[in-house]
Amino acid sequence: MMLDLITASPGGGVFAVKMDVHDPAAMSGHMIGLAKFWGAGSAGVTATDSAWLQNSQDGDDTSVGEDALPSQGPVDRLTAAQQYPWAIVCGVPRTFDAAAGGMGGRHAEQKLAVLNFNLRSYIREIGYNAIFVTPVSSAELATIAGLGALTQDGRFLARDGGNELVLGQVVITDLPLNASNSKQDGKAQAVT
Amino acid sequence: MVIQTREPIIFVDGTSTDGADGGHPDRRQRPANFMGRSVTIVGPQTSPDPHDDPHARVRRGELGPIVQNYYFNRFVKDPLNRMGHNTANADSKAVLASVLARSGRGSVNPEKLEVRDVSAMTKHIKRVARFLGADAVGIAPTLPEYVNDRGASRTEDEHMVTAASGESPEEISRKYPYAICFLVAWDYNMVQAHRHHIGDATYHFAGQKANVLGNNLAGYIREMGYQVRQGGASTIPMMLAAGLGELGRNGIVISEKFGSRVHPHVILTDLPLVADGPIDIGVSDFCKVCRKCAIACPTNSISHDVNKKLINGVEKYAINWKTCYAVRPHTLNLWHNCLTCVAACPYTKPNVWWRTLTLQTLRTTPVRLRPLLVRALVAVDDRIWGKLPRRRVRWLGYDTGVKINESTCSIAGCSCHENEHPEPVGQYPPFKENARRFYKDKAR
Repeated sequence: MMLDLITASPGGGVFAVKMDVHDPAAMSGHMIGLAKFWGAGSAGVTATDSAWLQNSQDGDDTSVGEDALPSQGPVDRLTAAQQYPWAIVCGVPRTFDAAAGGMGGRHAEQKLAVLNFNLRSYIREIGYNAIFVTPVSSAELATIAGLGALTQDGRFLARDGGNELVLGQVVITDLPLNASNSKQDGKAQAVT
Repeated sequence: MVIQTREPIIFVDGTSTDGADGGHPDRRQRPANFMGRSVTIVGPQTSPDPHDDPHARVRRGELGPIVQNYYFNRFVKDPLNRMGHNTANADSKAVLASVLARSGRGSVNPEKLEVRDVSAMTKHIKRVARFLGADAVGIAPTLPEYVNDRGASRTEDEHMVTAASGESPEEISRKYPYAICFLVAWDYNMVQAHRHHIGDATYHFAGQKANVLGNNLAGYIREMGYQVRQGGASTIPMMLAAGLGELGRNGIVISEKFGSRVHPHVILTDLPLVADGPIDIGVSDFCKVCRKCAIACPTNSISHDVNKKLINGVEKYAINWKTCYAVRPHTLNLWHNCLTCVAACPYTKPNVWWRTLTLQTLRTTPVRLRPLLVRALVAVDDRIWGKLPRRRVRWLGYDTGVKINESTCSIAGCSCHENEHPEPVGQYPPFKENARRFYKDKAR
């Protein structure tokens, strides 16, 4: 299972030299742009809150402790919220192909895992730490991050793309960021 | 190992030739060993050995200590480059291609799915590949000439974990008679930022997408009960055989919809499929006249010759990979992949209606009249896009418009001051004169 392989991979080390972050708001826009370049349909940044983190002993196999750096050991949710004060929340558009039956939902989950893997690698390469976590409620967290809103019956409606947005794990980091849902689209523009 | 020229048939499946599979109805009329008009197979060929490819030869020091040292000790300053591609000093656990390459492969489902309609299965597997992210898919017969010698496999990991199974190319082509070939396109605007970290980003992450896609497709086929071999064959000839493009003067597959801006990938399988045939999109006629890639190449590694050369039994344009490679240590902080030949190629255009119309016109023009049309098209291309593409491209905070010795922040909208970023991020060198200087330095 590639999905398990990607989500269970420990990731690379943290680069020894930290990149100077002069403008957290610009860095938030940069991270959202990168997320969209790597396939996110929508992305936002919000402050990490221990209320939506799960403890490693809560029984979920993708909880905070699973992705902690080996040297650190399991991390409880209060520590994680302090250590990684920002969360990058992404959603990937769900795609279906009627002729390729059964290939739908999990593929979008895999795309989200690849996207989170890349975000984590990038953050570590610029000298900050980042880990994956599974929030208690992905939909509520996505709402907090400005990706969409919850309907009265508790369903998540994405700001761009209705309810066809797959949510899941998020990346929490100590990279200085600002709460943002920047419109940065991650696309290159040719200037004439 | 020398493989004799095949007699008399290319297509190993022997199935329908009615074109229902999207193949070519006239393929029976094609001569044996026909790989399209861009290459001519005239003699026996030697199977490729991944241990003799340019990367392996550089590792062994064949290009001298500077390039060898670059290979083992390079340090890439751009963080996107460090985590997009497994360079010598990157942390391989941060690079997805390495993580996937070093993981175990799934096992083959013992309950084999019976394939009653090969044509339907071919359509299905192509559709699955497209669903998983491929921009173009084709099926080729597994040609033993292009299967790695002694069953060696190459991974997307640059450390290239190669494992020779000891099987001969003929044995492998019998065991895995079909090659599923697919292309993942690079972003058009980002390719225009050739010799820049922007171009590097699209190059590396399209490669990552192709790698994930290849693993997904391989897993899907194994789940249907059939075997798969990844990284066991040369990609470019397989792309030609699968009809995904033709070989350009720049030594790269020029695809029908995306030109040269593609990442090719091939997996071998024993799943019964119908092979496609080579296509003619006029590359042979175009490359004879155009030469834009050869003119633009900063290291003069692309031939200007009208005539092709005989290389390993194949007539094609010669590429001097040694000069192409030797410039890399000197440009490491500015860019990692040149891509100038890709950006300069007139076929590398957005996949839009006017491109399709032009290609259709070229394809339907009789061969003897094509040089006239090509001259006109090259003139139009020079007029609109220039002889050397130099468009200014912005992506995130990267900007190709930043001049030499200027510096800027790679974070878009950052409020920092210029002098807070001593490392320049937006440059276009080297041009030809700089490249010549590097070689002079090396000669000393």
